[in-house]
Parts: sequence; structure tokens; C-alpha cells
Amino acid sequence: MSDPYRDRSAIELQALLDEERGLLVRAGKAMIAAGVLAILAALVGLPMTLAGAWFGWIADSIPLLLGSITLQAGLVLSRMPGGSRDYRHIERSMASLRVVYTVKGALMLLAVGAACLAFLSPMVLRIFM
Amino acid sequence: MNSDPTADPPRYPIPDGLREKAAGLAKWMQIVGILQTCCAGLAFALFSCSAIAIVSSNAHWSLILITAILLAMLGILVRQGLLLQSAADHLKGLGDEPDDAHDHLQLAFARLRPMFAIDVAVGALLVLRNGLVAWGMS
Repeated sequence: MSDPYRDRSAIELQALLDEERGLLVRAGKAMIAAGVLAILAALVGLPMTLAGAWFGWIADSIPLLLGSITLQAGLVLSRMPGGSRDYRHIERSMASLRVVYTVKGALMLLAVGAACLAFLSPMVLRIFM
Repeated sequence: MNSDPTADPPRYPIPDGLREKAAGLAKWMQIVGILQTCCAGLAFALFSCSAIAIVSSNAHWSLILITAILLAMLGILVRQGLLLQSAADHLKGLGDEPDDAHDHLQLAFARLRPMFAIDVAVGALLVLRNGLVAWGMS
């Protein structure tokens, strides 16, 4: 009979269960595919950008940048080594995703703010003028 | 010894750094999710009205098909916004409910996977569109 105090497998801790790790790895693979396609779309659209105005450069470089960061987050998540180090990989992936969503959120807030201003300013001016 | 075979094995607690990162990510995900759901939902409602007018005016079948595809795409964007909000809620729960933190982590990524699958579909459509335009330019 084995001594439970010496049996290391009985007290072995783990960060994620196998099914949880599998789910996170699959999510990472979806991120990789999304990132690669975003980069590809930006690269295929490069001739249009080169032929267009300076604004096109910004409009094309943002998806390229966000796609690259999403790809990096996916690569980190899909290569989780197991054990307690999984948490560090999830943390790094979340840090990358945070950059993506901060940029997306700031751009969306700007766009919605500008649209609201464009729609509401004539009404406000009509009330006060 | 009375042990429950269905009980979870002992786990490393989720570190504070991961909780903080998840909370920061959840905040911006929530903002993007709300804005995307509102904008795509509004566009879906407006476009549905014009789709009814198009269908009732006995328009050409190709126009009806294009309208249906655009409506489906807007519906998918609304769904993506809702998934994003749900994932953000679970990421927030990582810090708020430490006892269920692992469940929240699993549920957050279960929502994020179909969300990125929608991103894959959108990316493929963008590649197709940009490819067709670039081909037309050359």
C-alpha cells in the first residue's frame, strides 16, 4: 500500500482541466484564423490603398495592426504548456486582446460621437439660434 | 474514505494579475459589444423596413437575394455584439466570484470562440471583396 503523504499525484494541483484547456486552445485557433484573414484582407487591399488618399493608409493599417495583435494573442493561447504556467499564457493573451478592444472601442466611440454630433448639432442650433 | 468522484481536482487559484487583466479587457469588450449591438441592431431594423418594401414591390429576385444576404450579415453582427457582452460579463465574474472563477473563465472563452469564428467569416468576405476590387483595378 502506498503512503498517501509520499504519493505526489494525490496532491498534484492543476490550473485547467483537460476539457477547459482544449476549449481555450480552440478559441486560440479561431483567433489565429481571424488574425490571419484580417492581415490577408489588408494586404490584398494594399493596391487600393496605394492608389487612394492618405486616409486610406490609416484605414488599411488599423486592421493590419489589430489582426497582427489578434494573431499574437491566438498563438500564445494555442500553445499553452499545461500546469500553472497556463495562467501566464492566458494573461498574456488577454493583455494582447485588451489592446485590440481598447483601439476598437475608442474608434467606435469616436465614430458614434461624431455621428451623434452630426445628427444632433443642427437640431441644437435650431433650438438656440 | 468517502470521496466524491465527480468533485473537481484541487486547482491553483487564479492569480490576481489575471483577474485584473480580465477586468480591464471586460470593460472595453462591454463598450464594443454594446455599441456594436446598438448600431447593428438599428441598421437591421431600418434595413428590415426597406427589405419589406423591396419584397412587396415585386423586385427582381437578385435584389431580394442581396437584401436577404445583407440582413443576415447584420443579424450576425448583432449576435457577435451579444456574444461579446456575454463574454465580458463572464470575464468580470472572474474577479467578482472567486469560487466560480474557473467556470467563468471557461464560459468566457466558450463565448469568444464563436465570436472569433464570425470574425473569420467577415475576414474571408473582406479578402474576397478586396481581391475582386484589386482584380478589377488591374
